[in-house]
Amino acid sequence: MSHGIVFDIREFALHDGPGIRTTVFLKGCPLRCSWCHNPEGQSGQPQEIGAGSHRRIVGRRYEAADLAALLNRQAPILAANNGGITFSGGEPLLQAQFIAEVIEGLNGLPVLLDTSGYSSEAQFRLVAAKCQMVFFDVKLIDAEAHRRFTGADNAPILANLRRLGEMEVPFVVRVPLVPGVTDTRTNLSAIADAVHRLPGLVRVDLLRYNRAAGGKYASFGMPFRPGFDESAEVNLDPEPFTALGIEVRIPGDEPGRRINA
Amino acid sequence: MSEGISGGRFTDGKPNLRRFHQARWDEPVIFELSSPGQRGILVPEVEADIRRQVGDLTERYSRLLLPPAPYHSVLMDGCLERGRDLSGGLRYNNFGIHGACAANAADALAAVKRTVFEERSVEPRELIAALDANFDGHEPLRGRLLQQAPKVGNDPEADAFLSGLFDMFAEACEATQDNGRGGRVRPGCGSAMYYLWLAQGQPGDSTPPIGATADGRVRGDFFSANLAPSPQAQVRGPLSVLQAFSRIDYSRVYNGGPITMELADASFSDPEALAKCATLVRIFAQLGCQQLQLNALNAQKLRDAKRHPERHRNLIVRVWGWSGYFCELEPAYQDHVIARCEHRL
Repeated sequence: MSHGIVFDIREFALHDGPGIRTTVFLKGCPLRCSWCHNPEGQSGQPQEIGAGSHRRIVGRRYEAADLAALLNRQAPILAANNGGITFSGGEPLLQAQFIAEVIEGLNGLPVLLDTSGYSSEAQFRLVAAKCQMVFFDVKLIDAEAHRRFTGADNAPILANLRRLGEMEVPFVVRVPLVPGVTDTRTNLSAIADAVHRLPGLVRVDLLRYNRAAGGKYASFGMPFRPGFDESAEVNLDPEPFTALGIEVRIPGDEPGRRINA
Repeated sequence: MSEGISGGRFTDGKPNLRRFHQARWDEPVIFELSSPGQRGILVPEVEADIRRQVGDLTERYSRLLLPPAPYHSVLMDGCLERGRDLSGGLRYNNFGIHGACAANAADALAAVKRTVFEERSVEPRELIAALDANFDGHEPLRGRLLQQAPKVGNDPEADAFLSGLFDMFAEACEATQDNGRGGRVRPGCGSAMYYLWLAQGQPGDSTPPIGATADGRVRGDFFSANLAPSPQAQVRGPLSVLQAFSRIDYSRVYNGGPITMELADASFSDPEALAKCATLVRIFAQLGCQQLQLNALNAQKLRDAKRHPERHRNLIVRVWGWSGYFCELEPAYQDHVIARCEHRL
């Protein structure tokens, strides 16, 4: 039985998959994206933040069976409402064995993996094969730019993306739109080229840059150096994808009906 | 008509904890709500106090003089036929009592059970000294109570204390066959303004009725309005909240009082998010809860409205059972609205 480190569990995540979902955020990430809005997910170790009586430890150790039992408490509610569990992070595949055991312990709940794709082939297959859906981040196709903005090589990511295409697990490619970095027409066209023939691709989500990203860094004693102009307009043009027949969604972009307006 | 009582208030605002004070770690203490006769040394004190408060309020209801209301009486069944004003009695003469701030009361009991009786990491006298000192000089203990003790909404043990408190409350009300006006006393779970009055006092009070509490809350800190986890509790989200409050036996606690949830306004931003909100309402019904009040809040906008009221004259917020223009609320109520936990969908 293995254990893992979790930095948060959030119910009713809005954009973490179909139906109502409880998202487990795993601590630790091999990437250091300069726009990261979950800095508490970077280190794999529990961290102490705050002072006095507000001091708290971010990151809690769970045995796989205990986490499964905690999630199973709501299994009937989730099952009755087309819901499930999402594993996100950090990078959940850094704790692939742990997640695989948690999934085995779930009472048949549908599971979604939300991943950067950066992992070994074995880790990737172990978890992805147990999931009903995968959200796969693709940030930058240019290897040098990827290294510069995320601190890591994108070759393992693109290799796992191709494997996912062969695995018969439906997946959504998610592109965080960072102004001047990932939202360029060149990059979006390259991503569209890389994904449009992959079987199992459901759609592409374009995620707006979160301007509140820097807000959490100070409490973790980390500097926030985005390395791009945060205030620049984001290019939301989905044309590189739609031109190839790919469905595109921009969460939060379709205004809801106003109630009591 | 409702009057608030607090599950966390023992006797005249001062805990009657003599037996608790004398308890020792090596004394076998049974602290279960479920086995009558073996409920340890704290729960019977709470139960007796709830009975006493219900008795006091009921006695006051029997002496209450209602002003005559002829126009209102015309609209009520039976008044014209009997030639009697409604102040002289109606077909239904039930009065309600609300159990306010129940989450903090349950958290306090759960914290004592966990830290004093199970972990034995705090001596009873140390806890009482810390409460008397409003946790001054007891910051590490307060931190432990806040961060490590079970809280309603994140731990079934605290949830069990919550439903147990409402069971005791219902029992006390059921024991009152007649409220002195030909009706029953109906237990409810709303708070009206008592979430503020109990925490901070009514205008003109020098000290609030409730001081520091064993869940790590210091004097003056907010309670939650109606049914909601303590503002200090970290909860995983709305499902856990609905599950916690679904444990109340609403067939006995029937005077009303909503589960109150604040959602970020982004929850209503696109059709998919809206569909999830609809599912939330469906789950509320599936779990057998009684009333739900969903509020959309944007904390940033509210903070701006406090600084620049002239820019937000039309901003309306739900306060407890009513809505009001945010900029016209008293600052204490404004602060409470801002501080309410935002459940991000």
